[in-house]
Amino acid sequence: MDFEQIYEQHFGKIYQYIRYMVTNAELAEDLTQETFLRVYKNTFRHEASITTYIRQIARNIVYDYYRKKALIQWLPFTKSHEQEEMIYVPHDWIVQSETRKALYEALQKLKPIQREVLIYRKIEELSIQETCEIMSVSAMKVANTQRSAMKTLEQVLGGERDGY
Amino acid sequence: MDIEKKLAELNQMPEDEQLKRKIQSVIVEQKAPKKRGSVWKEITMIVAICSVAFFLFVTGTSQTNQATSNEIEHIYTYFGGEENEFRARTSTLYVGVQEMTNATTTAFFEHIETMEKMENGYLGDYIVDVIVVQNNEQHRYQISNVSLYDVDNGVYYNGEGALFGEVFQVLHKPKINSYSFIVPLGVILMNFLQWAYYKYRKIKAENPFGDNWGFFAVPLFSLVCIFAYHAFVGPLYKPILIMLSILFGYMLLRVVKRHAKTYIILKVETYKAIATTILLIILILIY
Repeated sequence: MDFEQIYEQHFGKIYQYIRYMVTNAELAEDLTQETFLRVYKNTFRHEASITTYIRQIARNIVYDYYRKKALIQWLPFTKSHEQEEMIYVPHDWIVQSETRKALYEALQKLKPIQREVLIYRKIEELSIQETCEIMSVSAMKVANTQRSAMKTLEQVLGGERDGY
Repeated sequence: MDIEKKLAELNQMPEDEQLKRKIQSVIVEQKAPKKRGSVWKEITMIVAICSVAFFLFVTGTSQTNQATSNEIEHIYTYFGGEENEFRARTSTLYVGVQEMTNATTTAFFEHIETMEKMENGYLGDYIVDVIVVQNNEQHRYQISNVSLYDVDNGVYYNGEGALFGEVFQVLHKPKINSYSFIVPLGVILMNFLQWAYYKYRKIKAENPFGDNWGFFAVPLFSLVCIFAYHAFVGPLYKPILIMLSILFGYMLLRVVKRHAKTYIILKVETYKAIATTILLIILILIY
């Protein structure tokens, strides 16, 4: 399968995953571009399915960004604009529906790993096996994280409803 | 509508065709990976390591003794010597070479002319090579349980008397380093931690090197050369061994990086490769 086909087939899901994992539109674009650039430059060795391979690259890039962000916050003498949080810009399609917006905002309040498990398991409805392969963790870990994520999500959404 | 159904609806995010084409055009504009660049990088690194090793080899044994008195400046010993094969070196940077600072030994070699010479002399079973540096000159000896052989002058001295016995015991005493236990302990600890971590994360322990054992042909050949050199030529030079260890660690890291199937295995095997290199270096330094 050549790069064009891979790109056509996987762009949507990869961009969607990154868009839910980071809150900024421009950043999501950059990370998606970086993901496919790596796919383009690297040699696929058929050790996993191409889907798992691309998802793992996207995941590594997102987590690299988180690590860099965490590091910048701790660095002394860093310019103030580098320490500022990215501007929160949800996708237009999210904003169009109140339900989607509430759910998206609730998702952003979860830990990254919880959010990630919900993206794979509940949004994209991947199997536990597929999720394990992408995240390189055990099925037990996925199941436990999913349970805690759902509980937290219910609490966040419930709390907001009470607040209204 | 329950949360799960609402979450499933988020999977319908529409594709932004404009963005898709924009990113695609940026990627296609990028050049293909430069394979030759990485090859040159590796060659440069190996040449750099070899250059440093050569520099250390050339400069490591130079002596800059300025003393002009007749006092003994250094006594170097090498264990496992053989008759007619002198292997000691004037530097502790060689494996097995040790510098002696014992007062009795120094006094013994200062008054060596007073010893009784042997006609048709011979050495015993346990031989230690000794180099005595005195007045900027090196004097080579082989000491055994029955006699002392002056290698430079071809003279045998009779090994009798309490002082000779004491000196032989001091020189022949096996070099036991109290830190030697660190290495086997480190290997056991390293493998145990790996096993425990894989068990904790429920990861099936697999060979991180895949089927590419060919990568180990070079290290194995180097190991054979090292043993052959040590057996037939003389003591090995520690800086070169350290360089080879670092090179081995680098090769391990490259193989692991290429063949590890998951990030966790990559991480664990990387730590293991680094720990193996450090243990190898410790092993070289303590002997």
